[in-house]
Amino acid sequence: MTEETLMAAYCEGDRKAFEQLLGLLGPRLHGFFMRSFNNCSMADDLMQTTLLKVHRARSEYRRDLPLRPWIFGIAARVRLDEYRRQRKLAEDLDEEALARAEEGGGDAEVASARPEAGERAAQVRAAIAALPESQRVIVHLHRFEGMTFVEIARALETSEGAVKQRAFRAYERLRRALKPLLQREETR
Amino acid sequence: VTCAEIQAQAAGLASLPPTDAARIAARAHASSCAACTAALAEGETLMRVLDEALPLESLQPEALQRTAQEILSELDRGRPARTRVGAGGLGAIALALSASWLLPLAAGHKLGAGAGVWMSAALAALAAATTAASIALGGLALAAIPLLSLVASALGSTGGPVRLAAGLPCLLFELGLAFPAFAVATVLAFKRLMPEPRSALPAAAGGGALIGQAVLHLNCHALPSHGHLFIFHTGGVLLALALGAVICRSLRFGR
Repeated sequence: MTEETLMAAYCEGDRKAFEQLLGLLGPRLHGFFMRSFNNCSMADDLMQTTLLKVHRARSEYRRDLPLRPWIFGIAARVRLDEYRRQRKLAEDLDEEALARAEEGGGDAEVASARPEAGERAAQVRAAIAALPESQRVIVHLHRFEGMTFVEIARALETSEGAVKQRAFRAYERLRRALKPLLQREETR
Repeated sequence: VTCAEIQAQAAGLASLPPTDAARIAARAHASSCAACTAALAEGETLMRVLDEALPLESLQPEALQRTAQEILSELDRGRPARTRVGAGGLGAIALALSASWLLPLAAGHKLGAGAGVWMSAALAALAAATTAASIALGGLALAAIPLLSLVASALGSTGGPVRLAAGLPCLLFELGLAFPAFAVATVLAFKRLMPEPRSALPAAAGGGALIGQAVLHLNCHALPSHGHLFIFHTGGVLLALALGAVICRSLRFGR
């Protein structure tokens, strides 16, 4: 059964379909929030908030469209709300405004967040954590959820061009931040 | 594509699908440029490292359970008890079906011979029971409605001519009687009193048409003809079922 079929059954009130869907998407949503906030209990709460919003909006789900972009669109809005709340940012700040505000950040954060030593996963996690939030969300959706730039643009309510540009910038930042690790990996 | 462009975007290019035109062009260029080859290779290594290095953080089962309980209890609050569905929903449809059988008679249709009345009443009662069972059970139970119609048509006595002019009124009469039951079922579905609207609505439409077939046992002039019965009487029931299913698919029932 595909996620879309399970969602259709869940929309009809099927408890088992909901439980199956939760088992598939719960960990992915949790991972999404962990990578954004690196806080397990906060990721639990935000996953729960997202799933409740999905539940209340399930009649709006269009069955002819893939499920993940729709779900992660809701998750992205939950993430942005939390980000605005934490940083005390204006409530009308959208993804584009956030990206513009973060543009001035440069590579300083990447450099300061680089761990002195440690395992590969820790280095990668630190490099991703050091990305501006508007880029990190795209890396997550593109690389870890396998969504296309078009799907991400739809989920974040922005343009495909803007998504692609931010993705390219994010990957370049990661390449620079992880250069020693990548060189070691290439000689392996 | 220039070397500067490729080297500045190597990681982004490596993140694109292998069939992407920009990635293909970059690789074609890199085949004759060592610096670009190295940059793209580094980009591809980055993608591999990202894929391998970060497994999903483990999610506590309790967190998932908490969320599930909250949503499942909302799901249950939005779903009426099956007993209420049985008493309210099926009762209302049974009423609509009975009215569909009685009204044409009350409106002055000829009753015909006494045996015909009993046959018609028996078919109407069976139709009501079959429809109720189909609504309650859903799925394959829907097949009971056309089966009952086929059996009723098979009871026709002889062969005879099949005339469109005689058959169309019968077919339209059955569709007309399918409507009240379908309408009642639709209203109940929107009020969340139908357990499975996707099968209940076609069942109600088919059941209504079957009641129509029962009434036609009293007043159809072409009754002895098997061909007429199968094509226009059973055909009407099948058409009502199909129309019910098609219309039902275009409706969105809130939950």
